[in-house]
Amino acid sequence: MRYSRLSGFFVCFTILCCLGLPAFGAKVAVETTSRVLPATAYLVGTCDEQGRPDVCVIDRAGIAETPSGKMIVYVGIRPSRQTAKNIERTGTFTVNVPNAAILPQADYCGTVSGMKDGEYFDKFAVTGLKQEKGADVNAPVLTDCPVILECKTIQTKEFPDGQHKVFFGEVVSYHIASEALDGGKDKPVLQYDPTRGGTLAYFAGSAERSGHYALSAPMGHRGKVWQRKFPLPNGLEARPREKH
Amino acid sequence: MRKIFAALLALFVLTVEAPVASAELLKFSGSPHLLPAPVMVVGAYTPGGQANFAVFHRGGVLTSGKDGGSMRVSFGVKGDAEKSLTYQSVKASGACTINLPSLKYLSETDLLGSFSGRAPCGCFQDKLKAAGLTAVKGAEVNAPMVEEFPISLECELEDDIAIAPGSKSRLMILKVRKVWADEAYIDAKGKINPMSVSGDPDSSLIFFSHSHAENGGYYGYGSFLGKSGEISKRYREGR
Repeated sequence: MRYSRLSGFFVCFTILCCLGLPAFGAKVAVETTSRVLPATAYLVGTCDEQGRPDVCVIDRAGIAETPSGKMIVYVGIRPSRQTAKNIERTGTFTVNVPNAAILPQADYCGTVSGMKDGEYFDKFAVTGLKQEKGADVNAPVLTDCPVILECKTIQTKEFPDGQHKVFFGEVVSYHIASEALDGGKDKPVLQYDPTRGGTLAYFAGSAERSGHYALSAPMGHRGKVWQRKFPLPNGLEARPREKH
Repeated sequence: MRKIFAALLALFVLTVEAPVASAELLKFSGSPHLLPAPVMVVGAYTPGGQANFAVFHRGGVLTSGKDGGSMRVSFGVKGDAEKSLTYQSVKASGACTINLPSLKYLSETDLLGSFSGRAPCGCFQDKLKAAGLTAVKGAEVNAPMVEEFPISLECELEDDIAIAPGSKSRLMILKVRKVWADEAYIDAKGKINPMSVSGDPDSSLIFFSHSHAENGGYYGYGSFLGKSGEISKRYREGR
């Protein structure tokens, strides 16, 4: 088995080398600038110095850390954008998860600026998206969204040749649509249904299949899926795992 | 008669009070560790020179470069990072790879994420071998990649930072040096797609939701809803 794979690999490699394409297996080298990681396009809400709400679309975002009982999320935004300026000034932002019902409105918010020629531009008036001031932060909560995180900036990071400034926000409170929770609706991490929550998936760039997606059907639980294909004994020994 | 009237009244009240389809938002404190996040299989050589792979979902793209400069990605090491074999390996070698599995390799990925490369005896155990996968050394960086996964990023460790005061978790900040993609994922424009161009569902990259609900766990990309910019055309053209 290994020999035929090895010789197959050698043949492919030789042919591809002759073609001038660096390759291994079925993979070829491509540009390094593509955002190829699976992502989510979030609506990031902020207020300006006059308390006027703005919202933009950010896909350079994710969980940074989950220290005991808390979550730190991050968003990467170009410092020239109105949203970045608002976060700098207020030290707060919201991360709002769009669903399919409001996807065109959400997408629109990523195509125009909240400040046009020095004048405030109200994206909420154009799209009809609903918002109200956050309970714990000076930033808008977009109430059409199934999940909303209220965040306070705790750290930032910039890079000499990077375009984006990274804002790390501690989630001080969050909101979830009741219909997205199973059971008693009091323990979100045990009850949140991503399918009913309607969270979307996103792939950045200009590929044929770049853009907005629904999630697939659920594919199984961590720690359960391996057991179907690699039941014990499988050559590995388990270590008592830390709780996370 | 009274009973009928009471029943009708109850029916009327229930109808009027029936919840409307749109969301009732509930407020919570604590950690909303439930939104889908990218599944990243990080490969690094241990200080002993073995190829080790572990699964992370905290992190993602941080910044893109000015005029095509460095792309930076990150992954977070939870708990006491200094005890993590991946953390020790990436710090020692200054490099790692991020390998993006497809749903076809979900079982293998879950295996990599369910065991440590450090056995209870403290010695190395080869998870990749147990998963039946192949390690290939990077072309640009001193780190191993997973041959079978559709996308691999060769990365150089630029920094690792503490984010929350009093927490020992670290965020690894990586400069992307080289990207490899399965040709089946590359379209006519030469761009990478999150599944094969033929649209095989098994080829999709993977998300992970930490929710413990019945529908928590792993997900792939589902049906395509529209291209960024195109999907909101009606709002820019005026109504």
